Amino acid sequence: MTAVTHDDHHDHHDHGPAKGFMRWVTTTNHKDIGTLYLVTSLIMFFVGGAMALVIRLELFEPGMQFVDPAFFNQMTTLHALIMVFGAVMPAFVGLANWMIPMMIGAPDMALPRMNNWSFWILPFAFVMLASTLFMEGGAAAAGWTLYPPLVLQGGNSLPFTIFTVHLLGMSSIMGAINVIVTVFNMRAPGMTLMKMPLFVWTWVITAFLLIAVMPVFAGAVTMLLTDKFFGTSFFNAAGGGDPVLYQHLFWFFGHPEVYIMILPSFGVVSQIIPTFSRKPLFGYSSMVYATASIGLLSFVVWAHHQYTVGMPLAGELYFTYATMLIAVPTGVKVFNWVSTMWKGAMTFETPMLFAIAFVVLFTMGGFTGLMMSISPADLQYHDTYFIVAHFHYVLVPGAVFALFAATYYWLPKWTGHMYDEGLGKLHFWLSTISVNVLFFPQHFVGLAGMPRRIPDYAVQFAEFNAMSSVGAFVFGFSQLIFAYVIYKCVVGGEKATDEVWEGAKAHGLEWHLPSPPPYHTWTDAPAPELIADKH
Amino acid sequence: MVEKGHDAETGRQIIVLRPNASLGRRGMWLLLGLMALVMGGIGALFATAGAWLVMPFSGLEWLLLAYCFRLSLRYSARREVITITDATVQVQRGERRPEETHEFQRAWVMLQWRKSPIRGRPSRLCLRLHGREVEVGRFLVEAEREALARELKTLLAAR
Repeated sequence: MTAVTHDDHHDHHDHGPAKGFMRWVTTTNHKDIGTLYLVTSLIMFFVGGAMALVIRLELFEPGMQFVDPAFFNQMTTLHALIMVFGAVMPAFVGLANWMIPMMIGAPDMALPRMNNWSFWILPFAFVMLASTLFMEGGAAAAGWTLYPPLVLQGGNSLPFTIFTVHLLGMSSIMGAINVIVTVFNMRAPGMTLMKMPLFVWTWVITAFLLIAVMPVFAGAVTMLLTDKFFGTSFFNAAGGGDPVLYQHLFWFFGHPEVYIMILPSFGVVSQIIPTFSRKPLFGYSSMVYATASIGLLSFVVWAHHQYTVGMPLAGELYFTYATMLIAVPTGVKVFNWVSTMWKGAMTFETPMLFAIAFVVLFTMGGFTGLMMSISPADLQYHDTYFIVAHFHYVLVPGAVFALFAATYYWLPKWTGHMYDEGLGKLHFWLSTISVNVLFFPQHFVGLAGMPRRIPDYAVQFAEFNAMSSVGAFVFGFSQLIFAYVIYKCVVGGEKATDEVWEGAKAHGLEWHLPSPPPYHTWTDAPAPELIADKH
Repeated sequence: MVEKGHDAETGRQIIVLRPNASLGRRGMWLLLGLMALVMGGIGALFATAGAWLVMPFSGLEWLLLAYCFRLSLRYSARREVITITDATVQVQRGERRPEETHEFQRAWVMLQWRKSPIRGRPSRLCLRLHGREVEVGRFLVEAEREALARELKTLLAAR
């Protein structure tokens, strides 16, 4: 016998979960990391939401009542940064971690250790961001866009905010790369690209968007830093720089960022509607191409955020038409969702209710977006509450409702227990009514000329603002029901079957795994007949 | 994947084990090339506008993407070749060429297939002799490992 050694190199998959707290610190398991992401994002949702309530409390009536204007501006900035980078994006990364391996028949994510790193960067980044509230001069107060020269006039918080942004960007990039490598190299035999569920497709396109635009944002905020501390003049007109260059850089990142938050929502809704309509998704391949088209178009429309800084007529025409063009593939998607429901044997469990609300309310947000794409009209809407209403319709009943839908849809699979349907429906109705009470009046005050990012306003806007604030508080406190439903479902409840939803096995591989799934997913490859046409 | 072969001249039985991979080297380079074009294009666009600091971030990110793909492809390029002759059982491991070789006397080698008592936990298949063991097919899925165990049992028993 020669060169025989004891083989003690075990991969992580040889082990079960470690015990206690260290399980969560050291885990490389895709489901554990998915859970960590989802719980963190829920906490951040409440933190960012509390900041929104501070804003709405101050805006309940005209005049200054509760906070000073500087703190108000810090709240708007941190609310936005936390909701975008802390709540919505990590929640979708959490969903990707949980669901992508299960949906493509892979045992785990391709790079499990990097997965652990990409999560654990987040809590430290958020602590750093929150700590800026206690620094001299307070937190950044220049909006989530961090436009110069305003942001450069802030206190000590700027480098910390920028370092936070870098960390969050790194985390997102690592998450995106992991998704890409997993989907391209870890698919089960027989799982061709055009057999992948829509949720996986939308995430792959999102991941490509992320890695294409993140360096632009990283470069932009680093240049802010060098302008402030190292005497460069990238954005300083006095030194030969151009503040509008920052706007180009920011929106080249910022516009696709909106799609980064919305495309996975499209994926979630495309999984849920066929299940509760008991029909296959209408026009699967057109959905894939529409998603890819939206992704591509999102790169070439950034300057529609900058009509008011002045641009040549040709530029205005180009950005107007290019932006309008996005309505075409988006329309294809809405048409396909409605066609999937058409003559389906529909039932209205909580995930389906949230999915339908998503389709209706996101479409409304899309239509106001179309209004703003027209450059001469946008001069009227720019920096008014109409914009606030538009993007909140896209991001709250859009992205956040899709996250609620996803949670209710997959929670029984994750925990092995059914959630409380009564409380789920209560959460849905309270959220849906209050979100409209919250954001719909903002269209009117915006069209009437109320500017955004102000702590005080003229009395003619009082009624609609009071209405909006009532909606905000009802919406905010309704989310406690959501947290309670999750808690109740995690600790117990009626046992969920493997399929959970009637006929769900026809729509995804994940429903062929036990509920909850074993710690090691797909130790056995899914049978080829299970893979065929799971849409 | 488990591939079996038989050398009629020498009588050797050969089993080649490889992990599942849905991406080839060519596909990887195609993807990386496309991303280099896109990210390089974006970086160059902003560099010409004066924001040259985008370029190094794009470059670093592309390198990370390439490194991650390489890691994943290295994992899926692993091979285990089990060669069974009249006298010996040889296990060779490596990526492009054998990097470690373990050899056992066929008459004494024991095959141990340990199923996990916990549902959903992978089993372990080991060749063992004199207290020393080599695990084979660690990257296989359960059904493949089960088939390999049966195959090895038959081959080792046959004389």
